Amino acid sequence: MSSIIDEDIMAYALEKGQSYAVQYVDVKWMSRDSRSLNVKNGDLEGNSQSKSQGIGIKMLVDGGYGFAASNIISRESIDKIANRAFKVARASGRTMKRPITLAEEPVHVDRVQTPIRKDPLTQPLEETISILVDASKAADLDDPRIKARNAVFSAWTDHMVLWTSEGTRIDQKIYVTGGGVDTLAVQGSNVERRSYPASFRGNFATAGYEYFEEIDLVSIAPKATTEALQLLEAPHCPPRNDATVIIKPSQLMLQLHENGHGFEMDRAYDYEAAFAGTSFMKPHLVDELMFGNELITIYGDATHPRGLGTFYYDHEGVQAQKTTLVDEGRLVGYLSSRETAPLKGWERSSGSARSLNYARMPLIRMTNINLKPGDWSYDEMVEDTKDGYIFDTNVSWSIDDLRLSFQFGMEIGWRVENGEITGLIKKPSYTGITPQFWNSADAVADEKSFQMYGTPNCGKGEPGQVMYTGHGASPTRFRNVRIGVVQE
Amino acid sequence: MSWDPRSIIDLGEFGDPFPTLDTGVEKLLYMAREKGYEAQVSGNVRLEGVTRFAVSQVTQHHDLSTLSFSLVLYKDGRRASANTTLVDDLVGLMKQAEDGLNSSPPNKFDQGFPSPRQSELIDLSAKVWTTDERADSVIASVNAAEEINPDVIVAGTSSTVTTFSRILNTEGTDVESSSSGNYFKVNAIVGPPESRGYGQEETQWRYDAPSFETFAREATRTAVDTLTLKNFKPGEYEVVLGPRAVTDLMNFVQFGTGPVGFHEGTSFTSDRLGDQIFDEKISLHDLPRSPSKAFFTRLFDGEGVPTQDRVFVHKGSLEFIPYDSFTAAKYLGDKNEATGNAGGGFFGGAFLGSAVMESGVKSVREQIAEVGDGLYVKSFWYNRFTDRRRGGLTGLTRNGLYHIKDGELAGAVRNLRYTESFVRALEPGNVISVGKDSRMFMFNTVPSLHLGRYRFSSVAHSME
Repeated sequence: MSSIIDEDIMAYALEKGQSYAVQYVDVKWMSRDSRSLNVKNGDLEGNSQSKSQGIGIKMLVDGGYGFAASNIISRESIDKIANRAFKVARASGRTMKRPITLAEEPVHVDRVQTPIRKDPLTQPLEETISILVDASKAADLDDPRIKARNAVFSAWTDHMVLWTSEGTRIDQKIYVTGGGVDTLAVQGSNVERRSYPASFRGNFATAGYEYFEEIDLVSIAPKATTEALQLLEAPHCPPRNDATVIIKPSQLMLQLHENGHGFEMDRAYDYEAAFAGTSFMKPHLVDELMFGNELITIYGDATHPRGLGTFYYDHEGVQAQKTTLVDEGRLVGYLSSRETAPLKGWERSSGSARSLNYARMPLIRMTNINLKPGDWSYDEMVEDTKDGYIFDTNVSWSIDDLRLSFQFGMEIGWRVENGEITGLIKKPSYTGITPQFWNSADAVADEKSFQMYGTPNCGKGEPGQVMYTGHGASPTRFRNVRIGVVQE
Repeated sequence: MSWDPRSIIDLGEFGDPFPTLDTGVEKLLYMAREKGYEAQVSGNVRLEGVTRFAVSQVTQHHDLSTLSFSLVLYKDGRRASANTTLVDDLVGLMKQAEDGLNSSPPNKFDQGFPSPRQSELIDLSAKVWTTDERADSVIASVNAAEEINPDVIVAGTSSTVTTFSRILNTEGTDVESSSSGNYFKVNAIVGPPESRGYGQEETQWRYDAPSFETFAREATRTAVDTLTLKNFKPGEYEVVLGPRAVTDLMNFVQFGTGPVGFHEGTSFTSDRLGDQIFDEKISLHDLPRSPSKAFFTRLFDGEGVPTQDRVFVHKGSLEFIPYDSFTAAKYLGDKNEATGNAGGGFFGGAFLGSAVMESGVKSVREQIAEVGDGLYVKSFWYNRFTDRRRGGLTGLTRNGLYHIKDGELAGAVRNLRYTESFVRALEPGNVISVGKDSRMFMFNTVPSLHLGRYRFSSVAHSME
């Protein structure tokens, strides 16, 4: 792995930043290379590639942050960036009532990258397009109700070089690869979509092209079409207030995601009040609040192999960690940054601050928010369910600004009667209150059925930052759930 | 030339991007022609200043400048795109797009780039909002909020953005457009952690800054009001939606009006062009060339096709579907049926980004006065489609939900989740009145609405 940025430029930028009256300064060069392909009904409708790189300088002046960035990488441009960073930091400093202090972090000098077997950005395009065309064709079951058969591939690398005034020198390259298929079936005003291995452009991992090959779109495409057509004929999810529901990982991952935002320490301390919102998990509730029952243990794990939220160092130069957020039901931790960890008296950041690119300041972002597996086999869980439902594959999500009241819609559901799956249901949905919901879990499936999913499009911050996060879970059963909310 | 789109860039502050931009786009077009490709090239400048505040002080302060290039190549039905911020490596950009094109099978629908069309240049610039002025807006907001409640926690955003684009294609298009605008938002939080009140006010603005102090006081009053809450059961209520709530619904109306959904049968517009979908009191214009009325303004779309002010819902009747050149070719058979609504890039789609709802004659206060027993919703939050075909949405109230009793506000109500279709909410007969006072938001400018019924499905902001 080689850095594209010239070390002389990094040294110049850091030196320039330090020439101002600053308490701390870091220089972050980032480069993103990406590739996106989209085939619809056998025709290529998207073949785009993108490269972006630039340099950002962050300063702490009079207890306030300032940040400026540009994609023009020259000494003249860096002079302007440094000057503007100092100017905005000083303007921030005028407003500070509680000056920022940073948690300590050891100095790191390291060069790391995601382990891959095949570089997803140098694989022959023809080969990938051919797979997508074949997958789209494989989804064609010759039924006029099929309106769209999509097959997609996405990959990108995020290469970061971070130098800080404390001596840290990190060179990190993260690879992300993903893909999926979906079929849209329409009959009159009845619209159904089915996706594999997940909705919204498929599934993603920090991995090389081999991950895309493992998904094997051509093999799974016919199933997407078959189920989309079956859903047109299926009964609606009935409205019930006391349903027993087994939620599979490609939906439970988004439950973990939306609830996972509540563990972000900037939200808990009101730093995101103006946009993303705050959190019902207030600081005084740490070690007190029963987020769930004893079956529920949740980690923020930036080290999980292939997780979409996996990295080596965050964008403040803090080493990746596995942090326990909920321990047997009890709230015990947060995802934190160097700015927020001291607010709770913690000595070290959890290493959760990442930025979209060179032109953004790091924010606290989820890593991999994973539910610890239980000891049920999935088959035993179904067999043990007398009157219930199985829900899978997220399609709609909404949660309040405290992360309490949620409502989700899924692509597909199944009816379970006397321990057997007896049919499909369409447009399943459920709603609830976060701690009530997690306290109603009565069975968590084992490691064997644990699956990781990636959410590549998590938005936060102003200016907006889209970040990729991972979520792993095994199928989990919940009691007394309100379902069928969106039924007309 | 009545207006020079380049005059919008402060060359002293950010440096002069135009020599690099002009040389770059012209070189890319030349290289494409030399290689026998049709091409669309754009050079783009984006300047952003963003001051975020929270816990009553500035927490993030960005100052960003970006120069980027986009290239789309086309030949014999094959197409590929590439974009970059590596301004010194345009040969690399060309190679990337060329590699993409050569690996692409032809698309039978693709007719290439739209033909050139000219249009009048209009000044779309806003008042310049400096770094120090944005910091001053934070101090003014905090001071004003503390007049209402000394323990208030204040948060918000003061930001400014300037964009410039030059778009060329091998059909002969060579157009320039620039625009700028500002945004202010203030949030107020009061009360102990376990029982808080929240308020918020926001607006986009172009010429005259809003009164930061007035906004901060109003947000703080809402936060104080919402410290004490009534509990309402889910159900259908007569509602007055403030402009901040209406903008959320309109975003979904606008983004649900795309050509792909219309033709694939997944949109509320499918099979309904020309139909009376909404109440006759609802008229919506898309006004990308009216800077005093709409915030998201541009002279040309992402393909260099001139934008156009037009009506898309007239007295409740759906009259217009937007197209970019690809969807126009695919669904209408002619790339030049593109309407000037393209997002840009490669098959980027088309959208309505500059909606303005025709206002009525009543103030919010007058609309509230006409409600016997209902709810006043100041804003919605985390709205998502549950059923695109029917315009089905779910979301929550946030930053101010009030009970209206006998024409008066009668106390704040615990937030509710709604599960409702905007088609049903705006259907003929359900719109009692449209307000007279509009507020400008990112993608639309809208007044308040008085609706006969709106469906709330559960209670929010509660541990129970």
